[in-house]
Amino acid sequence: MAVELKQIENCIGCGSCVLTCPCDVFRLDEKAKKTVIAYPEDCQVCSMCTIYCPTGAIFVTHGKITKPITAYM
Amino acid sequence: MGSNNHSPITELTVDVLVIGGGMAGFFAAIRAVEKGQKVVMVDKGTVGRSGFTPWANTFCIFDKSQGDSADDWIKGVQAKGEYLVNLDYFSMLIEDSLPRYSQLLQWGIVDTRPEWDRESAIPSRKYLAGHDRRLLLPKVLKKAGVTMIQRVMVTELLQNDGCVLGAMGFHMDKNEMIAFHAKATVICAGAGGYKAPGFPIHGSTFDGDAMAYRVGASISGKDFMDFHFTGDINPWDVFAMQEEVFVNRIYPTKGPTVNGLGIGIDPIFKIQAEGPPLKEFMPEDLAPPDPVDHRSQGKSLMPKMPNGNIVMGAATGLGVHKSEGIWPANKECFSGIPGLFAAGDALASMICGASYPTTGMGLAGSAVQGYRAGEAAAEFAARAGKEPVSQATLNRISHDTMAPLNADRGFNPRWVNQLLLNTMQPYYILLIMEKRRLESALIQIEFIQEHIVPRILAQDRHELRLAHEAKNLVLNAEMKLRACLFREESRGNHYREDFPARDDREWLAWVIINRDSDGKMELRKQAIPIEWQGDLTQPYESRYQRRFPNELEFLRTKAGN
Ligand SMILES: Cc1cc2nc3c(=O)[nH]c(=O)nc-3n(C[C@H](O)[C@H](O)[C@H](O)COP(=O)(O)OP(=O)(O)OC[C@H]3O[C@@H](n4cnc5c(N)ncnc54)[C@H](O)[C@@H]3O)c2cc1C
Ligand code: SF4
Ligand code: SF4
Repeated sequence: MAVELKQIENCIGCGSCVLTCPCDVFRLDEKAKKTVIAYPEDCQVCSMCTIYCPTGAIFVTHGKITKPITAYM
Repeated sequence: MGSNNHSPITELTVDVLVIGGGMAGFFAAIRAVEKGQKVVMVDKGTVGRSGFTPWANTFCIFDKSQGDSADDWIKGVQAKGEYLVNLDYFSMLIEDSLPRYSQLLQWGIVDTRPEWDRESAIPSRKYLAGHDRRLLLPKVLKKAGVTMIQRVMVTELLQNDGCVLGAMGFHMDKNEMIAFHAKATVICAGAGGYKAPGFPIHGSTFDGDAMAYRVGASISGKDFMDFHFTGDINPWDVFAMQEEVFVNRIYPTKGPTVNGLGIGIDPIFKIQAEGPPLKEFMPEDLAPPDPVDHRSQGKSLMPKMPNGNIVMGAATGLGVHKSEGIWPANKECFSGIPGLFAAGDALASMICGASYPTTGMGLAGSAVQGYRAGEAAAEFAARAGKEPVSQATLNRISHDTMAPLNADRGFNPRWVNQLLLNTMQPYYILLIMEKRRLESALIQIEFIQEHIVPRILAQDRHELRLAHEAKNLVLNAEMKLRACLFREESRGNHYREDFPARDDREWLAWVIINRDSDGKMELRKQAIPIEWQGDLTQPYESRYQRRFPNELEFLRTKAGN
C-alpha cells in the first residue's frame, strides 16, 4: 500500500527522494546510506519519487496507508 | 519534545525575498535579479518539484499573429467568469503571456520535441533526461544568480511600522530558524486544499494567504470552489492518471475563446439528482478543445484513465485557480502593505472570475504575474531603507514557531487534518451550499480554531510542518465558510441552494476579507467597476448560459412578489 521500498538493496542513498517528495515522507539514514520511509501515512500516492529515483528502489502501489490517529498525544 | 527547544536564528539580509519556487516565484526571482537586486528564494520543498507547478502542462498564450483578438478573449472570459473578472490583470495576461512563453521556450523549459507516443513509450527517467521542466527551473535560477534555500518552511512575515521587512521560517532538517531581512517580499506560495487524496497537492496549504492575512493584508476569492476531475484508482498518480502530463512538454493553449464552460460545478447537480455515476463519467462542461486549433495540436486535453474512471471533486477546498488569494491594491501585484507583493496562485488576480474558463490560465497567469511582481518588488527595494526588525521580535516569532515542538502534550496535527476533511469535504458544505449547513461547519471550525489550534503538538520537524500547515488550513476554512455565507446569491462555482440565481444588483462584487483591529475576521463587498460588468441590458438567460437547479423558478417567484 502506498509508497514501498521493494528493492532497498538497490538504494544508493542519493537523497533524491527526500528532495522530491511533496509530502516530506522520506528521511536519509546517513550511516547506512539508505533512504527511510519515515512517514508513510503522509504519502499522497503521486509516484513522483519513483520518477526521480535513479535506481528504481521505490515502488508506489494503489491505496493509502492510514495509521490509527490519536487525537491527543 | 518537552524540552525548551531554542533554535539558533540565522539572519540573512537580501533585497528581494521570494517565498515559493513555482512558476510565479520563478519569474519573480528572474525579473528581480535582472533589475539588479540581490534575490533569495525560499521554498518549504524543492524548487521545481513542489506546489502545483510540477503538475501543470498547458500554458495559454495570446498570439495576435495567429489571429487572436483581445476583444474576443475579454468577452469570452467575462462570460465564463460571470463578470467577476479583473480586466487589469486579464490584460496583463494578454500582453505578457507570449513573451513569457518565449522565454520558457528559450530555456528549454517548454520543449519542442514531437509529442510523446503513448503507445510505444513508457514514461521514464530516460525519457525525461535533459528535458524535464522541473529540473530545468532551478538550473535557470541558479545560472541567473538567484540563491535558493530549500526545505525551509516560512511561518510568519516580519513587520515593523506597518511595513513588511522579510519573513521567518524553520529548517526541515536542522535545528535552525532563518530570518530573512528583505527590503521587499514577494509571496508566491501558491494555493491549497484539504489534503484529500484526489489531487497531488498535500504540500499546498494556503500558507501565503494566512501569513499575509495575519499582517493585515486583504484576502479575496474564498467564495468560489474548484471542481476538478481525478481518477478513482490512485487519484493523480503519475502513471495511473496522467502520464502524458508528467512526461510531456507544456502545450500552449488558446485562452478563453475555446473549450466548453470550463471547470464548473455542474456535474455535481447531476450526481445529486441521479446518484453517483459509475462508468465513463464525462462531465458535459469539460468539452475537449477545438480539434483544429494549432495550439492544442489536435489533441484532447481530457485525462485518460488507463485503469479507472474519471470522477469529479478532486481538490477539496481549493478555490478557482487565480481567483483566491491576496487582494491586489493596484495593477502591479502590490498587496497594499508596503514591502509586500504577491503573484500567481497566491494572488487574487481574478483573471478567471467565478469559474475556471479554460486550461492554461493557471500556469500562464503565474508566469505573467510573477514577472510583474518581481519587477515591482525590485523597484520598491531599490528605494527602500527601513531598519530591520528587532532581535526581540525575531526571538518572539522563533518561540511561537517552535511552540508545538516544546509542548509536553497536545493535539495531533494529523487529527486536525482529519477534522478539516470531515468538516469541509462533504459536497453539501462547499459545493451545494446552504446557510444552516455553512453555519454548522463554521461552528466546528471556530471551535477548532479556539481550542485545538493553540495546542497542537509536534514530535519532530516533519510534524512541526504539519502543525503550521494545519493552523493555516483552519484559518482558511474560516475565511471560506464566512465568504460563502456572505455571498447570498449563486454565480460560477458558487451555488447556494437558498439563493439559486445570480443577483446582479447586489453581487457584481468581490468579497474582501480583513482582520479588524480586534483580530476578528471582517468581510466587505468591493463593487466591480461598471465598465467590467458586461452588457447589463442582455436578457438574463443569455447573459448567464449555465443553469443552476431551481434558478428560473426562484427568479419567477421573486419577480411575482
Ligand atoms: C494536478 C494539477 C494540474 C494542473 N494543470 C494545469 C494545466 O494543465 N494548465 C494550467 O495552466 N494550470 C494547471 N494547474 C494549475 C497550475 O499548476 C497553477 O496555477 C500554477 O502552477 C501555480 O503556480 P504558482 O507558482 O503560483 O504556485 P505553486 O506552483 O503552487 O508554487 C508554490 C510554491 O511555494 C512553496 N511554498 C508554499 N508554502 C510555503 C511556505 N510556507 N514556505 C516556503 N515555501 C512555501 C511551495 O512548496 C511551492 O513550491 C494544475 C494544477 C494541478 C494541481
Ligand atoms: S508517492 Fe508521492 S507522496 Fe508518496 S512518497 Fe512518493 S513522492 Fe512522496
Ligand atoms: S532516490 Fe532512490 S536511490 Fe536515491 S535515496 Fe531515494 S530510494 Fe535511494
